[in-house]
Amino acid sequence: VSGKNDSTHGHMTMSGGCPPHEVLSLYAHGVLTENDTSFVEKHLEACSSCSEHVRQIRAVLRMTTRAEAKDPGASFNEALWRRIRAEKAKRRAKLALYPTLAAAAIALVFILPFSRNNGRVTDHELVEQLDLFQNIELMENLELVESIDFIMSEEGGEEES
Amino acid sequence: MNYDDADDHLLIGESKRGDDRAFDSFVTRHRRRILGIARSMVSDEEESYDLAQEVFMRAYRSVKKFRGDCSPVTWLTRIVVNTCVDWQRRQKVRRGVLVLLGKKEDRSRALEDTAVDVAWSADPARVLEGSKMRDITMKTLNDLPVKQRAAFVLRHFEGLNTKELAAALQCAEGTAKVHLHRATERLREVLAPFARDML
Repeated sequence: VSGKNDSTHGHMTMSGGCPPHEVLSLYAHGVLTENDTSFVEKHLEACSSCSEHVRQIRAVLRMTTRAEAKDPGASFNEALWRRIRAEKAKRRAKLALYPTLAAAAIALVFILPFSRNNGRVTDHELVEQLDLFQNIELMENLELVESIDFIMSEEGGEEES
Repeated sequence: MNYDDADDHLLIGESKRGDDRAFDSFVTRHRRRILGIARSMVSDEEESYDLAQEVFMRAYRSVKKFRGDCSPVTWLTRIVVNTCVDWQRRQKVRRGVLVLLGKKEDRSRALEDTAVDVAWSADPARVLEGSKMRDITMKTLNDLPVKQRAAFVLRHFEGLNTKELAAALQCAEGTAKVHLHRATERLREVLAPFARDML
């Protein structure tokens, strides 16, 4: 950073005077390189304006000090495993629907044309017999076909704790 | 197998092989830190707890994809940042829907925000007292764009160096510094009147 003319915050450039505010805030956060840090420190000794700016930042940093989070304890893990198990159960339930869907699809493909030829049962009646479209939950899950690859890979190595 | 003394790489390696006890030990080791970050990112305690849980849920789902390109801690911190980004997105949508529906809860929250703003501008000395000050600090922090907030929290609260910060934010080091600077400047602008008493 030292010596570059990169001010974007209305400050004078480092080569001609004060470092930009960006450098001062990074200095206050302690993320400047060693060279830049000593450059800024030398500058602060002589510049009351920049020293004031850095003091402000440090005061703000002290104000935003986080209260130390307490360890949530074993209940956190228990809640997590409950969620994980619930998610797995949901996926398995969805996965179990696929054979039913496949059977229904096969039935539609083979039985419907036959029924037309036969003439004894209308398409509408056959669908009712299959109960396919009466099962709203099943219909809602039709969209899950897209995620079958993901589910299969998940099922591959999972183990309950 | 006892995982008490196992390092993070071993815990993640065993988790990849399907050992849930190893993952449980990984959670135990990092839950306090992750909850701390979540609390800094989300002001509501219940939501921050949910967010921390979501972080570990995502970690569990994706552990098999962890290639070891970075440390497990950096990987977990990335998940925190991504979860926070998604959380903020959901919040925006949720607030938009609530505003459209005119839900009471949303109006109450808007009123609370206004109350803080009024207190802030009217009598800074008074609001310095007690929890109001924390509320204002948290509100200012929460109003920052999520990447800026994450940069500030991870550097200031978690002590990540620039390289670690960039890895967690999944950006170049220069970009991470810009996020950090912008967050700091915004906080300084808003909190400087109160900070004078601490100089």
